[in-house]
Formats: sequence, structure tokens, C-alpha cells
Amino acid sequence: MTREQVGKLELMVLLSLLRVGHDAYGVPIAQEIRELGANVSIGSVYAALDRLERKRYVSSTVGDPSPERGGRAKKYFQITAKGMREVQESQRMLTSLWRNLAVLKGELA
Amino acid sequence: MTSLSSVVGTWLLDRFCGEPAVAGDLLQEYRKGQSTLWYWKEVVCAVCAYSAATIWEHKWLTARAIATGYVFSWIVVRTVMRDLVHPWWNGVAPAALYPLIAYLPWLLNGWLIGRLHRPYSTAMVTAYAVWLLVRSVGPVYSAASDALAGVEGSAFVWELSSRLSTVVVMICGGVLCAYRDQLLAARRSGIQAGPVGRMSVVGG
Repeated sequence: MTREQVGKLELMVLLSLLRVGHDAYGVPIAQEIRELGANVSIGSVYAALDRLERKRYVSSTVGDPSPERGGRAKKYFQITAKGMREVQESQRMLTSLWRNLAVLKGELA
Repeated sequence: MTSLSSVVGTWLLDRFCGEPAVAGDLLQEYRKGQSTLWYWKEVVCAVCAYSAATIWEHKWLTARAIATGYVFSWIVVRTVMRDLVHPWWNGVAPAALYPLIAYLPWLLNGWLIGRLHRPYSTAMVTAYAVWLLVRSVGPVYSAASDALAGVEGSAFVWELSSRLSTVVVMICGGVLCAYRDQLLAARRSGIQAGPVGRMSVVGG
């Protein structure tokens, strides 16, 4: 089975999901990413979560509808074991690529 | 607090965004004190993100939707309406009323694209609308050049307004089709159409 690659936003969403922990839905996930300096909209976070869910890297549960949300329910997301493996694999791969890269240390500048 | 912005924004999200939770999240943040500008920026981003994702994932379906719209407009708008209905209409009714029926085929075109491309109807109608706008750039630019050269200013206004209204009417046709599907789905599942209605299910 071939491994499905995750994009930059998808990886950021997965990591934010881990940072938020329980009760992670669109708003706190987007806030977490914004606090790290990236400007993302809630809609693009949901679009990334939708892709991740189809790759089975995250799973979701629907909460109860509430009046302050106009009768709409929250959709909570959790990272799956497959998603966790993907995060670890991405970390391992990126760290290897970064290691001893002279250009980034300014040695060749 | 229910403002006109939130009502219109939620209505748009229910029809053009595949994820019902987005409308709830944005409403919640808006009611917590986010600005109207922030709310509308998020609504537009959500609609664009979902339409772009659906179009990207279903490229062949998008090509088919554009081809469907093009063939329909070529047969009905250019042939039937221009060569048959227009001359007949001028003989039986005031010519000034012709624009009222001239837009009907475009309404039908949007409805047909939506109908043939379910459950991605809204994204496919959006794709065809973008294609129509891209196709309009040349003629509108040409009319604008003529207007700037002092040839005929009214032609530019007519060109721009007729092309924009064509796109709007076509989108209305797509929305009508999606709304009909929403009502039918709600009736089947025994719930009322509205907050949890889902127009285009991204990724099925």
C-alpha cells in the first residue's frame, strides 16, 4: 500500500490537533495555527480536515447542536493511529533533510 | 443577536460549503464579537476553499460540467433563442420585454449543470461561472478599449452588465437545483431543511 503524502497545511492541522487535544474543532485548531504565525481561515482548516479524514488520518464525531451556533452542531476531530504514524514519519523525514544543511546555517551565505 | 450579515452568510454557507460545521463555527465567533468584515472574509474563504477542493479533486467532472454548459448554451442560447425565439418574439410582443425571457435559458443552464453533477452541483456550477467570467474578459476588454477611445461608451456598459447578469442568473439556476435537492433530502430523512442541510458533499 502506498503512503499518502500530507501537504504543509495538512501537517500543520495534524500538529495543531495534537496540541489542542480533546474537544478539537475548527475554531481552536485555526487559532492554534494562527498563534504560530500562519494566516489560515476556518474554511481552509475544514477543507484540510476533510482531506485528512478521507485519508483516515483523523476521525470525527458530531456534538450536540447549540443555540449560539444557530442550531448547528460542533464537529470534533481526533487523530488516528495512522495519522500519528504519518506525523512521526514526516518529522523523521524533515529532520533528516534539515540535518547538516549548511545553507540554512549561513555557512554558504 | 441575529444580523442580516449572519443570516445571508449562513444561507450562502448552507448552499455553497460542503461542511455544515463551518457555518456554526463562524456564527459562534461572530456572536462572540468578531467584526462583520472578519465574518465575510471567512465566509468567502470557506466557499472558495470548498469549491476549489471539489474542483481539484474532480477535474474530469469539472470538464464535463463546463462542456455541458457550453453545449447547452450553444444549442439553446445561440441557435434556438437567437434564430427562432427572438424573431418570433419581435412579431408578437414588445422587444423591450425580450430580456425577460432571454435569461431563462441561462437559469435552465445552471439548473441542468447542477442536476447532472450531483452531489457536487454547487462546485460545478461555480466552475462554469468562473469559466464564463474568464471567457468574458476578452469581449469586455475590447468594449472598454472602444469606450476609452470614445467610440461607443454604452456598448461597454451593456457588455459588462449583460455578461455579469448572465453569470448571476446561471448561478441562481444552480442554487435552485441544489435547494430542491436539499428539500427532497430533508423530506426523505424526516427533518426540516436548514441548519444541517448539505448542498455539495465534498468527497462523498
